[in-house]
Amino acid sequence: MYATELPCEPARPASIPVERRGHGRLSVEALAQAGRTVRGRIEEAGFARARFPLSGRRGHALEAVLINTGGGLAGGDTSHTSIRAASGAHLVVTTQAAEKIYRSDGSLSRISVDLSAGEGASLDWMPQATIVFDGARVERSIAAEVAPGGRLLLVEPVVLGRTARGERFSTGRLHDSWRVRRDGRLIYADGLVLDGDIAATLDCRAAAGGWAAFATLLLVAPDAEGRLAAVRAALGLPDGASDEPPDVPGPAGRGPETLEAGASAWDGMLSVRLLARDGAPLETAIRRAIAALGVAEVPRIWHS
Amino acid sequence: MSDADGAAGAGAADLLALFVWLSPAYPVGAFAYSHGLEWAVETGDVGDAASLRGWVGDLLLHGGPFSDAVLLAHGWRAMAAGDEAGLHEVLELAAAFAPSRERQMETLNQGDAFMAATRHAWPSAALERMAAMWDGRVAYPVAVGAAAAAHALPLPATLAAFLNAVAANLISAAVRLVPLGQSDGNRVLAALLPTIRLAATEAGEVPLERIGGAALRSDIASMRHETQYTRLFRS
Repeated sequence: MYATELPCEPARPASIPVERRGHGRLSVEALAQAGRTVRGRIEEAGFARARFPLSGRRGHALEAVLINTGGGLAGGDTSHTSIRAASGAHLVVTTQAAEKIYRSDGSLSRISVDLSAGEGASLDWMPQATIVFDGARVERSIAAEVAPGGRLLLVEPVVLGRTARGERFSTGRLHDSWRVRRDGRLIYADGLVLDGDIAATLDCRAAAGGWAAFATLLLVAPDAEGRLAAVRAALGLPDGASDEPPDVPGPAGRGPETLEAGASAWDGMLSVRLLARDGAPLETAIRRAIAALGVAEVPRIWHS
Repeated sequence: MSDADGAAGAGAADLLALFVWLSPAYPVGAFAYSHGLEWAVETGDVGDAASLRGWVGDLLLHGGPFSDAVLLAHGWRAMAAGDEAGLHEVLELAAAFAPSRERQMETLNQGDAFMAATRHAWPSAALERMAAMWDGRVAYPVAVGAAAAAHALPLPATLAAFLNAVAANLISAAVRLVPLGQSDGNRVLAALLPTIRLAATEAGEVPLERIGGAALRSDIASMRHETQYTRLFRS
């Protein structure tokens, strides 16, 4: 007989008592003041903290680094984050570390993110990757509101399973819902649903073809569509102006590369979908795409 | 599904409007859209009957067609209940629920064309009320769901007929693109009927706030299609 599970990781985690479930609430407001961006009202509760490192200051922007002192989310934990860049402010938000969603005892973890960019404000939401352990059950909703003339950048990498140890996200639940409004009107909505036989779903050729890491980047800005050619070039995609037939991957769609990417722009938005074998090529592609967008820099804490 | 969805008592004669609206001859221009399949053929992801069946089956259960069926069901129910706020919500969500420029164009162009043709040839007070209430463009599945409810067509049959039409249209595109024989295309559609039934049943149960799928490579295909060198299709 061989143990197939580590002692610290029982096959069925014991149910966590309701009173020990973690609840984080964070509210961060950034204000424009005398040509730069300063902290407004900050509220922290439970495991949620925000820090504003001086090293993150670039130009007029304020950088907020979000910290989960609980180290991740277990089943039944909740996290609510509310971020507001007031009129004229430039706020960059990232996280101190990858957010881990642990194997659940059966109950659902809930994450909600409310983002608001005021008139002439810029809000860059660029957390590090969310790592979804096998057996995790999580629902996340991201709701954003962009005022006229405001700008919003959303970058959300997700890695399914601890790929370095060969783990796949094969059971559990992941539901990710995005709703983005501009001037009160819904302009972008997206939903990712994985449940049931998740490994089989991810193996589907039209789904992920067995790959484990993906990200969506969304830029809402008056000039977003004008940045499409640069983003495509940075990702090695043809820009449509070429008269030459592009190189196309071989049969079965994939060569030796570890990344697939697409970019599109419409209605004052630019969207990039990335799918990668694991987290490393995904992050490389995100860095390239962010650099090509030219509206934000990768937060310094990503380098550590 | 419940009796409120009109599941019971619908004889074949009651479904004739569905046969018309979801036939390739109805003037929505469905033949012009491949939902990114044209790129999947270019890459070799779809290259024969088996891979076509897999790709279309994935989309029926996890892709745009599944989400469209969810939107159709909510549009049907809001229209049948005379719920203007609910109808507004699904109209707004459906118009925004697209991962790329071509996917949004695909659903809005067909939806607008379906509304125009149906309001002209199959007038109904309920559809006119919807047109008066909503000044935006109408996504295709919501147009079909709302029209079906306005004409008292049952939801389960509407869902199945819609998904069947979408699958048949994708297969027809692949027959031209791969190319495949007509008989191969027919066999793929026949083999997908259980999947169509399953998707129609499951989509009818999904709450609007839980809409979604997992067809990331199909989404990327629709983006890559925008710059595909030679194209027969608009998406």
